[in-house]
Amino acid sequence: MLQNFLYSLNATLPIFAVMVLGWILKRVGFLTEGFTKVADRLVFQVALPCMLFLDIAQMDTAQLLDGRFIAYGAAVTLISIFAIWGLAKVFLKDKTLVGSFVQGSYRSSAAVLGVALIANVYDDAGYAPLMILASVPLYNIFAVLILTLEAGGGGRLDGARLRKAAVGVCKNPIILGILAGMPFALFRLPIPTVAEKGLHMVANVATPLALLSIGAAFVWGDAMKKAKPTVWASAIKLVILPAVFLPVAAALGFRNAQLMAILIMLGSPTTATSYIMAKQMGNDGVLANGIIVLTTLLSAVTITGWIFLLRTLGLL
Amino acid sequence: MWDHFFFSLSATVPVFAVMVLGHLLRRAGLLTHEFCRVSNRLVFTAALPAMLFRQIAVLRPDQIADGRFLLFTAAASVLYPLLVWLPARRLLPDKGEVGAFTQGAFRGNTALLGAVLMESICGSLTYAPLIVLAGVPISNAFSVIILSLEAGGDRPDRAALRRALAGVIKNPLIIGILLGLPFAFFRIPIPAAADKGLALLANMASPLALLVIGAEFRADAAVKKLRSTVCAGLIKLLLLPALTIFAAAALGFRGEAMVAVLVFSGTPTAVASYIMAENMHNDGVLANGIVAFTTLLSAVTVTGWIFLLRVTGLI
Repeated sequence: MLQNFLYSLNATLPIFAVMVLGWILKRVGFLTEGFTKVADRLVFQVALPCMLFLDIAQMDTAQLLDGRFIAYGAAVTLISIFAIWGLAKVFLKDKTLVGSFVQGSYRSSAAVLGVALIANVYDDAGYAPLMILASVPLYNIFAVLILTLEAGGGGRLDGARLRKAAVGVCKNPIILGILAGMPFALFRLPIPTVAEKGLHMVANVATPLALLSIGAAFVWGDAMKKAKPTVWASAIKLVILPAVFLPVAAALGFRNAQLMAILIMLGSPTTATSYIMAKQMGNDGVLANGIIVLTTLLSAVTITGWIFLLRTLGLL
Repeated sequence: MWDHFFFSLSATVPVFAVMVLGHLLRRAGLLTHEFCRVSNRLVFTAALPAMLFRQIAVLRPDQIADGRFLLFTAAASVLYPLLVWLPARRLLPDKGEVGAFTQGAFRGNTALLGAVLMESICGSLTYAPLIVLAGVPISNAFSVIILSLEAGGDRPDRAALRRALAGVIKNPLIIGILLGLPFAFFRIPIPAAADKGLALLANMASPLALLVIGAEFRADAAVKKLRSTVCAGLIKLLLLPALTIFAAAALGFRGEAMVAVLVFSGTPTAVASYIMAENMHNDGVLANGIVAFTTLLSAVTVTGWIFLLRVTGLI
């Protein structure tokens, strides 16, 4: 129990620490506004597409054989996205927050806790790659869709807007990265080592720069003004989604390593790069920022709680 | 033969491709000068020290105690500036160029390119912190001394010299390495959370540095003082590596140690040398030109050296 808590803490604390570092470096004038602006663009237009390309291209599609697990993961992802989106459109008074709120509520960072924590409990990464296969492409595609449609508060969906959104999606660097990776995954083409090395280097700057940028942009007063949606989105991310879908998974017969992977998919903190995407696509940066900070801070506690609960029930 | 050729290319192409990307992104207006300036500071004060700390901290005493290698690189670091400086003082027609010329011809970009090239060539990082430890403080100190002695105009400014030398001791890279040493000697594991945080920072060191080097590359700088630039560049990329590699081979260095010798001696001129030459009233135009010229040419020469070492079976 304590060991799981320490493991989760070991995974989330460093992420949090780099955000704090960004915050400090901005306060002392080391990081400038001009730097973070360019860093955000660099991540969004270059590093993140490279990262997604590699993620997608190197997916082991032979794993698709476990159809039931994949189908459940994908279904959960889709249902939670649409449910949160619908509710957010109805209940959020400030419509400019919808895009960031929805993305922040559903989009887990499978990479942060995922593989490490699963490996800690079960000795090998087990179902983590499958979980990533089921969720990450959908996370990204829908993030682009939602952030495009909800940019600047959304508005009425007429033909012209829809066309504009469609063009925006097709030209989105994230989508292009995913599309470019698809053939490699489907036909199991190997990426030449030279290309892989180069792409990997570029992809490596995405997360650290995003974390520094989140920290640099964090302003306590601004974040407090959006405390309510921030807390709600974090609660959905860390507590409500697992509370709804874990019992369903258990009822469908998923146990042990499979259930653990589903827990990670549902209950991980919000991914750092979602802030960059929200901001670059004209959605609310402050809310996106706050959700990442809060979910990262709290997830070690909530994840450990979920593991404890599932253990007690004899499901893990 | 083709094998060796492809091996050499696959080690250098990714590294230079990221530089080219940086250059293209600058041209397209995505990367700005301000971004490069801040990134440079971020790399030098945070990311690179974190990387070196992690590399040193996981070494074990028997690896660090490769005293022969450390001694060799330290000796080379002392000899390089002297070998260039004394002839340059006599032979260069324009005495105002001596400082920038000397620095440009001996001071390699070990800190920024060392680890990324080592990893790309042999997939291991054992020697990367060693070449930084032996090379960076000594070359830094010599640069400061030579630039201040050769500064145009007035006599050397003693206060500035002292400040610059103090800066060498307070160099974040060296501090990162020194902090790592106790972990290595006493076999202390880095706490997992700290290691992961440092890894996040360390991961961006090389790619960010490469992007910035590419972004700040100015082809027009290289042609302004063509003769001196080419001459210094050839010393940096061909003459000094040839002497170093020959000596290392004679002393029996092979394999990974030899890769480290090549990386140590064959990297292009340090980007920082341009800023330092400007700040210390030396020929900034020439310094900038040498950085650009060696950066460009090293894509060919480093590949060639790897190829040569492979063919001769030294690595």
